[in-house]
Amino acid sequence: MYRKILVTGGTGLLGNGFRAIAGDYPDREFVFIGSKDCDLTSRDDTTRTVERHKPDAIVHTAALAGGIQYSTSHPATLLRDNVLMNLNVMEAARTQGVAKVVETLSTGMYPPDAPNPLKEEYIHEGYPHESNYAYSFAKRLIDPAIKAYRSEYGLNCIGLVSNGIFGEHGNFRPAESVMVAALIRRFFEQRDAADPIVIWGDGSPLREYTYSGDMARAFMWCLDHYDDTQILHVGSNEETSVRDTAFMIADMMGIDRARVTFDTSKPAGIHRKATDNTRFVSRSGFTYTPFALGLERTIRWFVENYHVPGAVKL
Amino acid sequence: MILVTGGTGFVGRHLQEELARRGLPFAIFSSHEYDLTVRDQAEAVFERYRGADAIVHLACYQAAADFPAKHPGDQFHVNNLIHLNVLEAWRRHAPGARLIGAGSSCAYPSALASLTEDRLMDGAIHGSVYAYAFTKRALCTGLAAYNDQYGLNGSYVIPPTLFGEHDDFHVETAHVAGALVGKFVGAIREGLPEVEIWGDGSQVREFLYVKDFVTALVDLVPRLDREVLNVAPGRGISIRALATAIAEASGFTGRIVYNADRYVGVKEKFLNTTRLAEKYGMTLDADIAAGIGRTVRWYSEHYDRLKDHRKFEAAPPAVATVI
Repeated sequence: MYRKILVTGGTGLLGNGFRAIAGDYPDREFVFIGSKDCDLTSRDDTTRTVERHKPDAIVHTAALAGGIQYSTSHPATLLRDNVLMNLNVMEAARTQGVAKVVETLSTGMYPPDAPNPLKEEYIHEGYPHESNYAYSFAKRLIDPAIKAYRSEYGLNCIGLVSNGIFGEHGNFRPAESVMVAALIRRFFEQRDAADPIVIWGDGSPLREYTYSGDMARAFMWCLDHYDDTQILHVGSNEETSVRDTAFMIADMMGIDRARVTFDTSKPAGIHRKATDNTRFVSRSGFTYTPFALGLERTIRWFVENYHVPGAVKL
Repeated sequence: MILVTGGTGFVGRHLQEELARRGLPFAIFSSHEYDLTVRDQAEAVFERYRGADAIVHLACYQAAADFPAKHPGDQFHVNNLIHLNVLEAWRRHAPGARLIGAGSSCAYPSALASLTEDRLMDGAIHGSVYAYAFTKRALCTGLAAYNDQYGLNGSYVIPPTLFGEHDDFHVETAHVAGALVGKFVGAIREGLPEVEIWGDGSQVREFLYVKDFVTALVDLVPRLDREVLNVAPGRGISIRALATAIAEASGFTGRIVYNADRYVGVKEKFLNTTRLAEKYGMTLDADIAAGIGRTVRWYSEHYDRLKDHRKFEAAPPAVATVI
């Protein structure tokens, strides 16, 4: 068993998912580090941190990411920092004798025209979306890194692919958050007004989100049971349309559905972004929190904490 | 002034000669002087040559044959560090210089028949060279990213398999052209009756004499503009034709045995050179005979010194070497 687990990106979405479930694993010790604790783009800093904590496993969830404005203006920074962080974590694990490393990939790395649902083997089949090519390529590079480090050094490292994460303690900043989080915030902030809440497109696009605690539990299952080179989709494949999501949020916040209007003159985005998680679910038998339940919990937390200074990333 | 990384390696030596022949000022350094895997040293050498008009980035940690299968982790780590450090040092200290990075045809998708520049990353890489090849894709992505974010002028040139004097001729680490020169010259010098060649000899590959490549490269340095460009003849020859040419050049009269049991990759592979021809009006010589003749002669002259030479003595060093 991997008793002591170092979680990088400890203040991020997935890191917060790990904090939420840590109590369910009483025989483990979780050490969370954020960018204030360690600069993972620095090899020395990374090695020192791993040396100090001597973890049995590293779950590397830290990444530099941003919305479309950031990703189109900072491709070099995104490529450099993310590749360096991944290299440094794997090198530190190798040189410090860490027994297992979990690397985090993202479904955003796939070619935009790949067939639905996405399968793991599509990872290199075409260019990533041009608005986020550097981040996507850095994520893709984890695949050969895992192969190479397993093959030459026998380092037990695996790559898990996450899709959109939401949940309590999430990120609700418009440019940085997944759509569902942005909707929660917007609906809440317009709750007491009377004017329409406008959503671009006809609301038909389908999206899937994974509740952050589920994602962390899926990662824990893979940490304990999965030792293959093959990258793995571990997110939920429950799809909900934008329209249904908007209505659910409205209902949960006591907003009249009639206020939700769809502006079909505006682009709706990609119709469907689905992932095939068969590899993972058939091995693990994993069950996910239903989207509606995760959404309800998230909204309750958001509403309770919105006015607490510093509690919500706004 | 042109700053060359990897200037002491195979391609780098020929590039030096070509620059000197044309009277163009240049600077080179070895990995012992500045280790490009170390950020501070990469920064130091780019700061020292900050007045450079152009940078030709050849440095990488590469060998062929069984080497990529034995050292994928080391190749992945070292090459990514070299490329990331070079790109960052470039934008910090010599952002006015254009940078031309060397690619590799092995970074193209293995399933692709026509290797055109806009499809470099449009598919998976062959399993035998993935670690190294992905770092070449990383360099290409990095050049685009640095161009986009900092307004720099970086380009990426992709040669086919190069051969010539100063190549690697050791069967454990050499590309097929160098390895065959090594085998045939070795057979003659050691009095061996036969030379074994992997595969049935029918597979088609593309080769370019290194001096033809560096001549084209020096012509292209001032002309390239934020692009990816195949620099190749655009035609392949069969391994059988290559072996025959080397056998003739070396005077080998023994038997050539084709071992069809060995897997040797896809049937046919060569770079599309439409862009090179249409945009730059350049064509490169697919006739390898003259270059093979010079290479065989050179290796024969240096055989005693080089016959046991390993590209990476003992454990591979965590430092920059060259293509």
